[in-house]
Amino acid sequence: MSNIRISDLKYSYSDKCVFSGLNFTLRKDKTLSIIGPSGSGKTTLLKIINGELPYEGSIIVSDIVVNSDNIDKLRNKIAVVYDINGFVNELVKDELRFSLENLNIDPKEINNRINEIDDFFAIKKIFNKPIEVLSTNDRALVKILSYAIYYPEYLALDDILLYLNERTKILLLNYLNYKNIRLINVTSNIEDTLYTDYTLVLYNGINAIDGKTFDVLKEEKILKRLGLNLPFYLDLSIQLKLYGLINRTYLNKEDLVKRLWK
Amino acid sequence: MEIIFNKLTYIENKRSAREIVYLNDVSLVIEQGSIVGFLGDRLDIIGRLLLLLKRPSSGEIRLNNSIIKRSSHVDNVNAIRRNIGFVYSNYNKLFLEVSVLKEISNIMNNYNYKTDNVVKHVVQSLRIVGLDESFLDRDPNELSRVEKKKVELASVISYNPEVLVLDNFDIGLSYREKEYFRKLFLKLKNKYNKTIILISNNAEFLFDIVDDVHLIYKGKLVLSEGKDIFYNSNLYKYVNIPKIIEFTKYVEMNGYDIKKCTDIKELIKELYRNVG
Repeated sequence: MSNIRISDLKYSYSDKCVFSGLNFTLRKDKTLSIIGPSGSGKTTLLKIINGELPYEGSIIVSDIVVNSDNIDKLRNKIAVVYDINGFVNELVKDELRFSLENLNIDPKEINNRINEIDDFFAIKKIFNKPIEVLSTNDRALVKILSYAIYYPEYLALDDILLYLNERTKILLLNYLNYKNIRLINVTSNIEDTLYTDYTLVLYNGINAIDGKTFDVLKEEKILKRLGLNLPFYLDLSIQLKLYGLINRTYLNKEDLVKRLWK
Repeated sequence: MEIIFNKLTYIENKRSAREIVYLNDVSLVIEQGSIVGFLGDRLDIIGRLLLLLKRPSSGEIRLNNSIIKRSSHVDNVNAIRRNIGFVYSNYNKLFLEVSVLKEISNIMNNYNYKTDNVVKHVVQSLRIVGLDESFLDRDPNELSRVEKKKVELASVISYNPEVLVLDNFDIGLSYREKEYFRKLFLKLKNKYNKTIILISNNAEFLFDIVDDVHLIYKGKLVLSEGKDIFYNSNLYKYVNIPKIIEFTKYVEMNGYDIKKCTDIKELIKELYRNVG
C-alpha cells in the first residue's frame, strides 16, 4: 500500500534545528506538493524520506520503515530527483536503460518501457543523442524519466518541473498518472500545487498547514505571511470577490472571463 | 560600462555529433545602467566570456577600451574581471571557506577591495541580499540552496563591480524573495547605475523590470526588443507566458478591451472600471 507516514520528525545539524516534531500523513495513492519559504527544510525533508540522513522520530514509506537497514527496499518505493545535472552515461538511450539494467530487468521489458516512453513523449529522435547537447527542457525530461522508468511508487522532484515547458510538464504528469507513480513535488511555483491532491506547507521546523490542496490554498493569510503567493487566477478571483464583482472563486481564465463579462 | 557583442559566436565541439552552439553571430549592445534580460539555454556562457574564462569562437566583445576576440591579447584582464560580478547557478558549488565572513572577506581580498572595517562591510553586503549578521559564522556549505545563492550574490556585491551577471537567479526563490530581488535590481540600476544582466528562462521574473530582452534560441538571436516584448506573441513560442499577460490577451481575444497592467492590483482596478 503506497502511503507515507511521518511521526514526530526531529532533525538538526550543527546547532540549527530544521525539524522540531513534524507530523504528516499522505493517504494512499495521493500526490503531494511541498512548499515553504527558502530554508524551511524542503530539500532536507526529501533527503530524510529518501533515507539519506539520520533522523529522530519515525517515517514509514509504503510499509517500509525508513532507516539505513532498509535502503534497498526503499529504492523501489521512492526516487528523488534533486537537479538536472549529473548523468552517468553519454547517450540518452543508455541513461534510460542504465537503472533498469542494474536492477537486472529482462531486456524485453526494458525495450517495452522505453518504447512506451517514446509513445508518450515522442522523443525517439533524441535517444541517440549525447545528453550534453540537449536543451534544458529535454535534459530535465531525460533526468526525470531515468528515475520514473523503474516505476517507483513515489517520484519526488526537488523544484525540477520549472525546467520543463508547459507541454512537456502536462505530458509528464499524464505519464506518471498512467504508470501509477505518485508525484511528490517540492516547488517554488505555487501554480504547480494545483496539479497535486495534497499540499504540505513547511515553516519553522513544523507543518504550518497541510491538507487537500484546495483547502490549503484557502489559507490565504497564512500563505502570504510566509512570503508565498496564491495561484494567479485564485488570487485574482478572491480579490474580485471582495470588490463584489463575482461571488465565487475560479481557477482558470476561461470561467473567470465568462463570469466577468456575462 | 557599455558592452557590445559584435557577431559573437561560441561553439563547442564544432562539426561533430557533440556540437553545441551557445551563441551564433549575435550582435547587440548592453547599455550602462540598464537591466537586460537574456532568455534561453546555456547563456551562462555570457558570464564566462565576459570574465575571459572562455574566448569567443569568432566575433568580438567590446568593453570600455578592451576588445575580446578569439586569440587577441587583452592586457587589463584583472581590471575587467573586477568589474564583472558573475553568479553562476550551481547547487553543488563548494565554498572554500568555513564561514560566510571568511568567504566574503576572502573574495574582497582577491579583488583588492579595501575597507577599514571588513566585518561591517560584509554585514552590509549580506543585508543588501536579505541576510543578516547571524550568517557571519555559518558554514556556507551547510546553508540551504537559496541561502547559498544569496551569499554568492553578497560576495559579488562586496567588491562593487559595475556589471552583475546573474544566471537563473530566480530559481527556487519564494514569491516574496522574487519581489524583493526585482526591487533590489531596480534600485541597483537607478541609484548606483549598475548594469544588470539577468539570464533566465522565466519571463515572469523579468517582466516589468528589464529595459531590454534578448531571446536566444539554438544560439541565434531570435528576438531583441524593449519592454514591449512581453506583449509580442512570438516570445511565447519559446518561454512560458506570465499569468497577467495570459489573462489580458485572453480577454482581448474574447473581444473585450482592457488596459495593459503590470501587477494584480492594477488589473483589479482596471477590471472594476470595465465590468464593475
